[in-house]
Amino acid sequence: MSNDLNAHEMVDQELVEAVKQRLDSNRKALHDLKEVTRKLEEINGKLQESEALKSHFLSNIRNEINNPLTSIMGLSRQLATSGGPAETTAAIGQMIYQEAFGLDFQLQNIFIAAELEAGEASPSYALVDMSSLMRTVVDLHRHKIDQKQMIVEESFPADLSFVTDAQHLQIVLMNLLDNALEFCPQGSHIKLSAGMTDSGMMLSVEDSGDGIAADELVRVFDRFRQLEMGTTKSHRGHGLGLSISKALMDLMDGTISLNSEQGKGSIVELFLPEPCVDVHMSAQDSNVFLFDEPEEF
Amino acid sequence: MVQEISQPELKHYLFPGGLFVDPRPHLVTTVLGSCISVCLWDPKLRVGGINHYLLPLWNGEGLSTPKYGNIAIEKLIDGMLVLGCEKQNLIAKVFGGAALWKNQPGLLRVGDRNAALADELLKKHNIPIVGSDLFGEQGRKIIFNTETGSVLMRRNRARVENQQG
Repeated sequence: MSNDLNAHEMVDQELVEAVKQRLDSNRKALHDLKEVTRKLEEINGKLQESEALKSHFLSNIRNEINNPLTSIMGLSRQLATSGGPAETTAAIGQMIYQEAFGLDFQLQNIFIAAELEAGEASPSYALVDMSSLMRTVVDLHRHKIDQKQMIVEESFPADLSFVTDAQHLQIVLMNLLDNALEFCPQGSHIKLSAGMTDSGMMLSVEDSGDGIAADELVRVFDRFRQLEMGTTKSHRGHGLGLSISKALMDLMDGTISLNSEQGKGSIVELFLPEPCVDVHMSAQDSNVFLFDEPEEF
Repeated sequence: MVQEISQPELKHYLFPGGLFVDPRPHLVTTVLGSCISVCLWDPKLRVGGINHYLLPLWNGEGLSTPKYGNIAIEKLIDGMLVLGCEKQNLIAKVFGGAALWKNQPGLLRVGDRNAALADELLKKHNIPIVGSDLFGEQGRKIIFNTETGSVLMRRNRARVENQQG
């Protein structure tokens, strides 16, 4: 009799266990579902935001392109009509160059962004003299550096060379330096470093500017995103620089990361692995030994 | 048997994340791991296009490049239409989607998700998949002849681990 009772109790207990387990797994499924829904909502929000930013870009492009163009036209007209002293002419010429440089830089960014989004950008590797590439990037920004009395420290070996895509890497570095110059207060210090590691090359652009708040950091690589947006924004540009840099680094199999602390400045670090050029370049003909017999589809 | 017909002289190496559509006959080569290449071909105009995407969906971060399947497939179809193709004539061949690591749990298998996305999107556009070689653990090298629509595929002897694409 007591045995029977025990057996009953056992069965009851097992049932309770089973019910409990089911409830638990249901609860877990519900939790998972909630998590997935939350993620979907997050992505949906992000895509909507991206669309909004895109239309903002289109309305903004007018100012960004028209204003420098108007300056260039006004200044060159002044130059054409005034027979003023040589210093004035030189000064106007310098102003025209700066406006044209800014415009050209922005247009280049728009073009490369379009090329990247169309999937038409592909890397072409060659041995690049990195030291001279980095010096070129600094020299191209010389007028801005002087204007804002910035100090640019070059910290890389004089004979650094690396197999990479010079054009793409130059665009990345131009954008990083341009950002540092644009968003740092007058007289700031910027450090440009490069060096080899076991597996590739590290580059970094470090500034002593205002830095970026932690909650804003996640968005810096989004396209058309500037931290200060709207009609009152005080910095020119389209918010394409970092998203382009990220896409170009992806293309070269590299990485880009931005670390920043508000009030202490920012550092952008790039890493480029040694490209396996022979695999890519000769993949069409050689390399056959690594592969099985061909099948046709 | 591989037919000995005249091969296109123009060659193109397609990098991961790239897209290639051109009216001229080309031999397009690409190497795939967990990535997917969709080859579209129009038998009427005898032109083709190909993509090579790494991840299934663009999540709104960064640029909307054809590194992501939903972008890459839509842009490839758009590119074919720009060449003058009609959508109902297009046929597709799909390759890649290998598993990078053995025993990876289902949700994380990017190759599977990449392949599922190609299937889904091509169905949505009513483009039939007339040939495919998917999954497994080996990388693949494909050569797409955009003039004849034929794809020559070689399986990598080594396992796919650490291979990009």
